[in-house]
Amino acid sequence: MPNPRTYLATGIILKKTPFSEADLLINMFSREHGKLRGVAKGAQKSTSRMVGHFEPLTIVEISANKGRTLDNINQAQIINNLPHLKSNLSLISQGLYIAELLDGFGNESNANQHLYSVAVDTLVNLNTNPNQILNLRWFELNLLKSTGFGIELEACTSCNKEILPNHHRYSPSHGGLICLECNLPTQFSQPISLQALKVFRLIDRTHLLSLPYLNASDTLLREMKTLLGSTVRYWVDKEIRSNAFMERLEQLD
Amino acid sequence: MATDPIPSAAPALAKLIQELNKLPGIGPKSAQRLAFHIIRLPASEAEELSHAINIVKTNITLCDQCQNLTEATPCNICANTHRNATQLCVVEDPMDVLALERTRSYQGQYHVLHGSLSPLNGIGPDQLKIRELFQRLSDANIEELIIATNPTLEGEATAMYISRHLSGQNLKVTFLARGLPVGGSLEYSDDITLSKALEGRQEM
Ligand SMILES: [Zn+2]
Ligand SMILES: [Zn+2]
Repeated sequence: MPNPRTYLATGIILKKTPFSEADLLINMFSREHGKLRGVAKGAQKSTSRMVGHFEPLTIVEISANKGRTLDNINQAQIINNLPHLKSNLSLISQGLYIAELLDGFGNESNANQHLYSVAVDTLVNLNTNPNQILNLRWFELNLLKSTGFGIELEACTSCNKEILPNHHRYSPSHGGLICLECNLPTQFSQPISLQALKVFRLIDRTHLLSLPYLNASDTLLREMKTLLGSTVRYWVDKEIRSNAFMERLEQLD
Repeated sequence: MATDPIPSAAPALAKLIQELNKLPGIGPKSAQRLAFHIIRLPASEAEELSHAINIVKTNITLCDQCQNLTEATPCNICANTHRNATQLCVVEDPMDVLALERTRSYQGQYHVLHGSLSPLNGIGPDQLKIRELFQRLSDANIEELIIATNPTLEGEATAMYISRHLSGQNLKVTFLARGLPVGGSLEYSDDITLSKALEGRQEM
C-alpha cells in the first residue's frame, strides 16, 4: 500500500542550506504544491544517491513524505540541470534573480502552475537562448500577470480611457499606464517611452519562444529594465538581493 | 519548532541547550544529549572546555596574508620558506586547507575566502576575502592561481567571478579537475579523490 503521506513533486531548487549532521534543507518552487521546504537526509555525504541533486537552479522531481513541520525528501531525480546557464556567471545571476522572485511571490502549499511554467520556460531559455535579451523582461511581466499584478498597457488605470500616443505615464502602484488628464503626482508615476510601451505590449501577447530577437538600444533596454524592475520591487515589497550582484557583474563587462 | 523539554526549574540547563542548538549540525536532540553529557563531566573537564572556548575566541585571528585562522600572523604555512611561494590555492574555508594539507600533495600557499558568493543570502564579493586576494596577487610574485572552491553553484560562481577579474593578466589560473561530486565539498572528499583533482587541475 502506498503511504498516503507520500507525494511526488516537480520543481525548481531555490536554495539549499546545510542542516543537522549531513542533511540539507531544501527550498523549492514546485508545480504541484507551490513553495515547499523539505529535508534531504544525508544529502551532504558524497556517498548519498541524492548528492548534487539540490544545487540551486536545478529542476528536479522529488518523492517526499509529509512531516509535521518539514517534509522528508527521500528520492530525487534531475529533470534539467541547466548546464549552460550554470557555466556562465551572468546567467547564474539572472537565474538567481528568478529564484529570488519565485520565493518572494510564490505561496506555500498553494500551487501556481502558470507561474511555474513561466519560470521554467525562462530558465530553460536562459540555458539555451541566452542571446534573447528579453528573457528577464518576459519573466517579470508574466510573473506579475500570473500573481494578479498584471500591468495594464492599453487603457488608463484610473479613468479607463484608451491611451493616446505620447499622452501617458507609467505607475507601478496603479498597475500600469495612466493618462495625463488623470494627472497623478509625479512621485507615483514615471515617463515611459512609446518604444518601451510597444515592446511591453509585444512581450505581453507573445510566448518567450516566439519573441523576435530585438535590436534594441542600451537606453531602451535600461528603461524597460527599470520600469519592470521597479514594478516587481513595488509588489514584492522587500529588497531584491540578487539585483546588487547583477549590477556588480554588469560593471565588470 | 520542538517544544521546550526542560522545565523552567532549570533555566541554566535550558540556556546551555539553547546555545548548543545554535551550533551547526546540532539539532535540539543532540543539544540535549551534549548538555547532559557536560553536566556529568567532572568540574575540571567542564572548566577546560569553557577555557578552551575562551582561549580560541581571544587568541585566534586571521593571518594577514592568507586570511586563514591562526594564533600568530603570518601563520605557519605562510611563514614556511620551504613552500612554493609562487603557487596560490584559493579555498572557501579553513576546513578546506586542512583537507588539502591532509593529501600531502600540495606545497604552495593558500588564500581563504571565508565563504562563497551567495547573492540570495546577501553574500557578495565584498563579504568575502576577495579584495585581499587581488591585493595579494598584485603585490606578490604569484605564477599560478589554483581555484579550489567547492563544486557547488556558489563555489563555481565564485571561481568564475575571480577568474573573470583576472582575465588578461599574466597569471596562470587553474581549476581543480572534475571528479569531486557536484554539490559536495572539499571538506567531505577523501584524500585520494582530492589529490587526483589537484593533480589533474586545468586552465580554462
Ligand atoms: Zn486617465
Ligand atoms: Zn597565512
